[in-house]
This record gives sequence, structure tokens and C-alpha cells, in this order.
Amino acid sequence: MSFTKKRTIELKGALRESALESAPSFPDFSQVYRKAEQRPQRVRRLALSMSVVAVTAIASFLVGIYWYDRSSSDTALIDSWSSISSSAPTALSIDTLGEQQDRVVVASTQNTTVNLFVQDLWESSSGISW
Amino acid sequence: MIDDTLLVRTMRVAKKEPDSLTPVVDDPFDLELAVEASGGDKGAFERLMWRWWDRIRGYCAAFVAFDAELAEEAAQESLIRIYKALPKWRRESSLGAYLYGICRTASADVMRRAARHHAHNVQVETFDSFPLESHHSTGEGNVLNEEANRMLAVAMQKLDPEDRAMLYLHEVEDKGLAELGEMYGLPLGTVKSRLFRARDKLGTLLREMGYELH
Repeated sequence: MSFTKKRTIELKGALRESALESAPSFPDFSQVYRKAEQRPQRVRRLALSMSVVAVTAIASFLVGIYWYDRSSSDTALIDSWSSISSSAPTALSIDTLGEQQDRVVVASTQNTTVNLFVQDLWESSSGISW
Repeated sequence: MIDDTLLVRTMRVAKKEPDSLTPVVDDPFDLELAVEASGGDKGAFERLMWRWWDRIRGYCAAFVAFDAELAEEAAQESLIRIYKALPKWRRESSLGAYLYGICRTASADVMRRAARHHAHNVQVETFDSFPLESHHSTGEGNVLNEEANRMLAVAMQKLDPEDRAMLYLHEVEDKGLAELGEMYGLPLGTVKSRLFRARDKLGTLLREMGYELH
């Protein structure tokens, strides 16, 4: 016994007794195998979700770059038109007609302004082939 | 004036030193089981763990200062890590140092997780609140013995986890300074002084509680 009536503690015995009393009596091997097999799956799941996030980020970046370039060219076109005498329509969108790169669609919420704008554009650039 | 108990302790540590410098030799049967277990033999792994179970659970319990819940978690976590790490063992260290090293990191991680959740934070000042009666008690001797063990557990909580685990290995498992040095990556002098300081602090704390350490 690690304790005597003199209130002394015999360190080796008391440490062993305390350790073995507080520790689990039997190892649970089924849990060991289950958890050991679960851990690689968890790591794989984490890697997969990180890959999805990375691919999404790269795709968003590329789409962003494409969109930025496209907007820039449209803006440049509108800027060149706005130098014409008549004022540019308040809302204007420009697009090509499918594969036909030689045709341009001009749209606005105000039809009259667009008509005047296109007319001015045609007159001022009649020497240029579209 | 020289403190008698301090003198006794100094002599005990000094006496152990020559024995502790002998090289660490693994049990051949343990080595055989470890080799088979590292090849994926679950039976060999279980036999090896049964042979080591008291040492593993005792070490983990000492590391977490005899907290039953943490000790169970640390021992189980150690088994999982040993199972996964055995195939990677290249015999650079003794089997004992390798296994205890795994138990050490597993127990430290369990304690860190517990600290994050603020689950266990018992202070020495609260030792009066521990119940002295226990349903396991069958007589006065048992009650006093349990009380002494509880006081020891409370005092152990005040030591650094690494120090109390090292003290446990030295006192209970009779690990020498050389083996502890190999295990902790420390020079012999450092191991010796850490053991001395840990034992001294434990003795002081227990004296404050009315106990003498022998």
C-alpha cells in the first residue's frame, strides 16, 4: 500500500496506482481500426473539396479576364462613336450578329435617339466600309 | 541547515545514474511482433499492444495528470497512431522510445484539444472540494489511501506535462537517464536536473497538503 498512517506517500506505488486507476482497462481495437481507416478518407474528402474550390477560383478568374477584355473593346467602340456631332444614346449595347462579324446591332431604350445616332454615324463615316 | 528529505532525494537520483547509462535493449519477442505488425498483421499488433498496454495507459494517464476522461482519449489516440506509424518504424530508435514518443505526442494533442474547450482546469486551491467518500472504499485505510492518491493527482497537475510523464517513466517504469535522454532528445544532465526539479516541486506541493514524499 502506498499510504501509511504517517501520511507519507511512496511515490512509485502511488504513481502506478493512480495511473492504472484512471486509465482505461482494455484497449478498443475495433475503434482503432475503424478510425485508422476513416482518417485517409477524411483527408481525401478535404483534398477533393480544396481542389473544387481551386478549380472554381481559376475558372472565375479566367471568365473575369475574358469579360473585362470584351467590355473594354465595346467601350472603345462607343468612345469613338461619341466623338460624332450628335450625342450618344443614354443606354447603348452593341453586339455582333452571331458569326457575322461585319454586322453590328445597336440597341437603346430610346428609339429616336438611336435612329439619330445611327444616321449621324452613317453620314460621318460614309467613306468607311463596315 | 540541510533538509533531510532533500538529501535523501539527491542520493536516490545519484544512485540510479550508473544503471541508467546502460544501453537500451528491446525485448526480442516485442521486436518480432513489431516487424509482423508493421507488415499489416493485426494479430501481431494486438499481441504487441497487450504486452505494452499497462505501460501505454500508465504513461498517458500520467501525462494528463490522471484525468480519467483524458487518459482514455490519450490511450486510444496513441493506439491509433501506433497502428498507423509502425510500418514507418526504421529502427533508428528503440521500440520503447518509438512507442513512448507516439504516446507523448498523442497525449499532448489530446491535452491541447481539451484546453481549447476549457474542459479541465482543476487548481490546487480547490482540493478541499474533492469528496473523501468513495463507493469503492471498504475501510478507513482505503479512504486514506484514495485521499493520498487524489492529493498526488492534484499535485501532479501543477507539474509540466512533459516533466510528470518523465518522472513517471523514471519512477514507475525504471527508465534510466540515457533512455529518457534518447526519448526526449535531451542531454543526460538536462534529464537529471528536470527529474530532480519535478520531484522537488512535487514534494513541496505535497508537504503543503500535509504529506511527505518517499
